[in-house]
Amino acid sequence: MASSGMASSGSASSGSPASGSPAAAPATTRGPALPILNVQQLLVHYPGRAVATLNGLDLVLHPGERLALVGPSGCGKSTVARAVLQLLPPGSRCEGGLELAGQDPRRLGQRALRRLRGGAVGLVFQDPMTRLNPLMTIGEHLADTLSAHQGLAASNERPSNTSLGLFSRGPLGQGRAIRRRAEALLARVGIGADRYTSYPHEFSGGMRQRLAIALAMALQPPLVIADEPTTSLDVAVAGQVMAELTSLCQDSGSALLLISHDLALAGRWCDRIAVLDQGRLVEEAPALELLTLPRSALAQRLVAAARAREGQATPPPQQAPLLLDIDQLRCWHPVASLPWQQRWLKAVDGVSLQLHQGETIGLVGASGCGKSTLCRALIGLAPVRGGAVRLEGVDLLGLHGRPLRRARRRIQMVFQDPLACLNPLMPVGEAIADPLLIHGLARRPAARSRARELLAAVGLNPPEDFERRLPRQLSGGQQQRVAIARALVLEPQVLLCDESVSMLDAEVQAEVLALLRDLQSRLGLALLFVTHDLVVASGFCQRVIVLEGGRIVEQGPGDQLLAHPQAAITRSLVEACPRLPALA
Amino acid sequence: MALGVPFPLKPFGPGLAARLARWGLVIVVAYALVALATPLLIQAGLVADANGGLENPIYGPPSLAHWCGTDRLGRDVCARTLAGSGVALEVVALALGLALLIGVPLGMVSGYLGGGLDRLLVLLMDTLYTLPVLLLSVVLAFLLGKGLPNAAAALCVVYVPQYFRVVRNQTAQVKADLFVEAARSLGAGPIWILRRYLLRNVVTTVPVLLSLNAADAVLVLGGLGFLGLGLPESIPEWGSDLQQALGAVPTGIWWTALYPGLAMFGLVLGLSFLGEGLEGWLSGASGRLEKPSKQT
Repeated sequence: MASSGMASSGSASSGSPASGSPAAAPATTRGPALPILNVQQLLVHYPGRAVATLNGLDLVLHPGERLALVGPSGCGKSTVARAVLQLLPPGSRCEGGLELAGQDPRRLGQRALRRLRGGAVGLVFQDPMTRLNPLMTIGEHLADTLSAHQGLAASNERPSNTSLGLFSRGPLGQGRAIRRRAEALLARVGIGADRYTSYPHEFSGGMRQRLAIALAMALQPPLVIADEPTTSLDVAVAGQVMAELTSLCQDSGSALLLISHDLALAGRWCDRIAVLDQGRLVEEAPALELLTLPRSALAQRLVAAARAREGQATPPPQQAPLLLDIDQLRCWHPVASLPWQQRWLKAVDGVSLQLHQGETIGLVGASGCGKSTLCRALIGLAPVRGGAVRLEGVDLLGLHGRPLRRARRRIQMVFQDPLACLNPLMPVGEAIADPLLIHGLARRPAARSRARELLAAVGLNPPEDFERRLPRQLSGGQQQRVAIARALVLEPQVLLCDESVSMLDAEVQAEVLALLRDLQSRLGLALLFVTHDLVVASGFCQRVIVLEGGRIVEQGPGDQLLAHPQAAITRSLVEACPRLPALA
Repeated sequence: MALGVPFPLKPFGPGLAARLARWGLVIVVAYALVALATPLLIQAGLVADANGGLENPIYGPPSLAHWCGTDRLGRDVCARTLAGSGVALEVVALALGLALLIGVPLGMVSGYLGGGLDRLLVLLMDTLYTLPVLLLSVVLAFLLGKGLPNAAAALCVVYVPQYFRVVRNQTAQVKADLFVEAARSLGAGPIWILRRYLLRNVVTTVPVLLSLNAADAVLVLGGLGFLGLGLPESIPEWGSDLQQALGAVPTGIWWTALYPGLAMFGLVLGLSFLGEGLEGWLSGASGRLEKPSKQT
């Protein structure tokens, strides 16, 4: 990586590699003792909120340090980033001490503030696509950032930079220099120069996040703020992205403020962890200490939830009648090609598995391995090319019309994004009752009372309070509970969970998993649990199946896969997954 | 016909939009009240009969007996102008109701099903859309003959393509959303999905279009009447009254042209205000809803 050369990193970081790397930015030249970010008793109050979102926060970050900010949802983690950059909505109150690179951003004018935002702080967001301009190429994004801050960039360059001379040679030479620097930056995050003219939509999520990192690091800011940078990525890609982010920070001596709900991730990539609750700092300690010996009640709870999530033993297999038998299922999509040599995208290519009553099978793989297509094929959303799906001995692929719909009723699915899978204008009570009405299983009043029962069953009590709410008026965990209730209203025998917990934070994840387990034991459900997280799968499922390229590459009890992964993809999944340090 | 273009309201904030909508509503409600009250007033003898005029002077100037004067045939201009508001509202409501009933379901089906049917309908509707509004309605009014329902039908054909386009595009966009797929996975058929999942999500822009089109339709109806098409002579209508007044204006008889013209202007203004206000208010509201409420 270092060889590909973001020009500046070569000579400077060779002297003193890791900590306190010298003079990468103006702020650092004043000496390592001066904190790059100094927040004292910060209070942020959004307009129209009853309580302050940040309520007396103290935070100090020195150059080159890596600090993780963790806490339950709604604790004000993201507000810290917004307050530091003064991106708060108009009408917000922001009081207390706030010093960024020796300056108070609240006292700066618009011009100086813009300069500070790009030059002193780089931001990496959760979802890069929404922050990229779809009409600009990758290269234009970088060139735009570089030229907007050119004066600053030029002053940041050190003599070792080969492109420095070109900066003063008229507009053409300047453009070329910017392009060269942009390409070097892309190469640094593992994107080839040939993708310079690609558009954001042509990139995968991981590539986009890398581009966002390149953009944030373009000016070698002394502080990088990453707000949930890997939440929307799968484990393997997330690992790579974090590795690149941290090594770039190290090379340019930048401090990193990582905002995350994932303790294991924070522990793996950061030196220190700060726990936030209701806008206040609850505990701050070196990562290892906090993860092994948390002192505050909240940190103990968070660590316990994270441990419960990954530390659970694989449940023992049980003897039960066969329920769902998938035999050599193939889902191929035609790819645009010449008519006499049809090419296929083999999303699922000959997968066989047996699901018994009351059993949970984990389906694990990197993104694009066909696990979602398999689920969609089972509920009839993706076309099936060949094979057989037998539900209690009846082949679903041979059925049509009414019998097929009746059979499909017994397989239901819980989607990844609960908010997106609910009609935004339909109250949740109605959304749960709707499947009954679709199949004509109940009249409206009966369906409504059944929906109420299910709301209670998934832990939304009292149901009368919830049934009239719209999906967006619920929290993420509550939304997922509604989605589960909706899938259960038809009394299915097989429940497919497609990444059903990956968007929730650790505590809520544990709650939803406990709910699923409870429902399973009460109703005798068979679960097909799709996830990219091998650790979660191993704690939750009796058997884990690893998919790659639409085929099964490995299967067995989860703990064995974790301890002795055989296939290459399993090994990389095990390695990529950040885990909490073992208790001493 | 540049009615679909949003008026730049945002810089002025939601205050202006709300005020516009309120004034528009006041004006439209006032016209509706007049329309409801006029038949009663005529019956009570407070306002003269709109068609009777044999005993009246011809081209009488405004006086106590005839507040707005009389026209070429001695008919009371005040009575005809007041009665005209009811006719205009009736025809426009009928026309837009029909356009809505045809355009919205057609657009939803076309957008949801896609394929050949969609392409055919889009071609047909776009062809209709390219024809000038007045030309199309003149031809249709000529073909359909005179009469209140006929005029409404002639107007309705003009507006179907607009609703079709808006609803079809919205449907094609929303049908790709996950919740539609989730409903399909639960076993819901196309009609169920259209009715329970798509309808409310795609009709959000229709009210704005409706009130803007209503303003347009008042003008087109006036245009038809001016050309002597649409409504029969026995029904008082602003457009035909204006046409009859036109010949007398150079001789200094202003009252026969002023009052119907003012009435039409007021109604168009009110409906436009209502439309623009609604537009600003709805886009402001949806902007507020869509603003990410992420607060991790």
